[in-house]
Amino acid sequence: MLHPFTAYQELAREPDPGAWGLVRRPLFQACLLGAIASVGISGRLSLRLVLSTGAAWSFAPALQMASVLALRRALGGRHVSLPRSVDLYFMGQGPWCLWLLALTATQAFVPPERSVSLLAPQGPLLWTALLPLLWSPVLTFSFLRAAFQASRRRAAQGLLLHGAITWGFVLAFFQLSGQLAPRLAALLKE
Amino acid sequence: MSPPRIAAAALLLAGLVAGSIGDPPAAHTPLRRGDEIVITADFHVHAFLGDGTFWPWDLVLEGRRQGLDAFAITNHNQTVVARIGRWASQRLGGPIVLVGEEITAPRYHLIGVGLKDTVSARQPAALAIRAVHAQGGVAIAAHPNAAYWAGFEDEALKELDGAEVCHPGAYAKAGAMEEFRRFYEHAESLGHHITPIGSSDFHGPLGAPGLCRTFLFLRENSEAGILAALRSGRSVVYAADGTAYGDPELVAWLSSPAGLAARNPPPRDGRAAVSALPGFLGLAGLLLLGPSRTRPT
Repeated sequence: MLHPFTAYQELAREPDPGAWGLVRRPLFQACLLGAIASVGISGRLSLRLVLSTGAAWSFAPALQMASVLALRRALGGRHVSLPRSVDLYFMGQGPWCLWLLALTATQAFVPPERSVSLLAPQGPLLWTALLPLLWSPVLTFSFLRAAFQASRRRAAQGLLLHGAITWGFVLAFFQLSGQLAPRLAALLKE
Repeated sequence: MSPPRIAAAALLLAGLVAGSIGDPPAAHTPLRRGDEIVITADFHVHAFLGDGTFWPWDLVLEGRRQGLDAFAITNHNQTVVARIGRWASQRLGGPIVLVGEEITAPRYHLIGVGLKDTVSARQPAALAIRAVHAQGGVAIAAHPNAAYWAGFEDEALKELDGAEVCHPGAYAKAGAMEEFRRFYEHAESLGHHITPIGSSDFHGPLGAPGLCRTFLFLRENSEAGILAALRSGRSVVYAADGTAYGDPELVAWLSSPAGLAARNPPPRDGRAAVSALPGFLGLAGLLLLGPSRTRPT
């Protein structure tokens, strides 16, 4: 995570992981989301909640897999197999996963009213999200440079495409859940 | 698989086993006060297939764990998921799930509870409240902080059934609790009784259903009984600073030894910590170590 370009260059030289490589990290991420949700609501790791909520939120890793497919196509990275591309990309999700894990630890070991205040806009926990928010693009950029052998310019374009897909999805999610349009209208009226 | 990975996987497995024993939680019986049934409710919960984290059926079981007897699923501008939640609740044996909606407009957020159909947010608050009433539902001002005051004209306030005086926003934002109180007192000053409501606005994973809760005194433990109690103001709510809102007689009963039993959410049992700690260590270990690598030949 600290020397991503060198690490990705080394990892890209490893043998193809096969079909299992295509799904192992996305599956782990879905289970991690389920585990975080389970501990968050019940204070425990319940298999029922891990599987049920992990299945509900599996669309998030699925969407990231789709973004790898789009990046691979756009940047001409077909010399790297799709399972290898997906596996390498998900390695760069470490900072977000660790942050989410820390968030859950907070929820598990402090009272709920305190955890709510920690994640408020002026609370300390939300600011720590800056770390993964700033470091993840560095990892994705390194992934595009090392795995797809993209030039700096092409990797930057890829990063923009990745950002458009990710943030486009976040906005679409809020629009579909009925929140985005009223909040935008309220902001425009202010 | 290397020994550290085996150890991490074993910790995770131990956490899962400990956390799955005794799950799902058992239903609990509401208290009685003479002829009345005293229930704990939360009228503002979001579910997945909206911007909530959990499926409605998981919310039913977790609402039970939090000691809730009833809650409303109130996704933004839709009621489909709430209807699924009510169906699940009937099959799982409760708590009671009421079909609700957070009518989300730019100038106001309004909770409709006891709905049959979705109420449009493209209308002034007074008309939205009438639309809720036309379906036999109850209208509650959601997190009425200063940003939403302009959306509730006096005409709307005179028709409103309830207002949230306890909402997790009070824990998160300085001054929010005071704004909820001022809204409630202003609405009451118009000569129309407003039922105090405590709601969690739970989206997950942070917070908990019932983090802010409403104690209701019912004649009949059913959806109709709950709506009747909401209309007639048979509620008590404790704000974030512990201030009690509601009929002084009901507040006094909740301060008695019998009432105190209803007031606090059930504590997390010992298994939760036993489950959470090794589970965390296992997850963190697997995350940092990653899956086994295929070595070059």
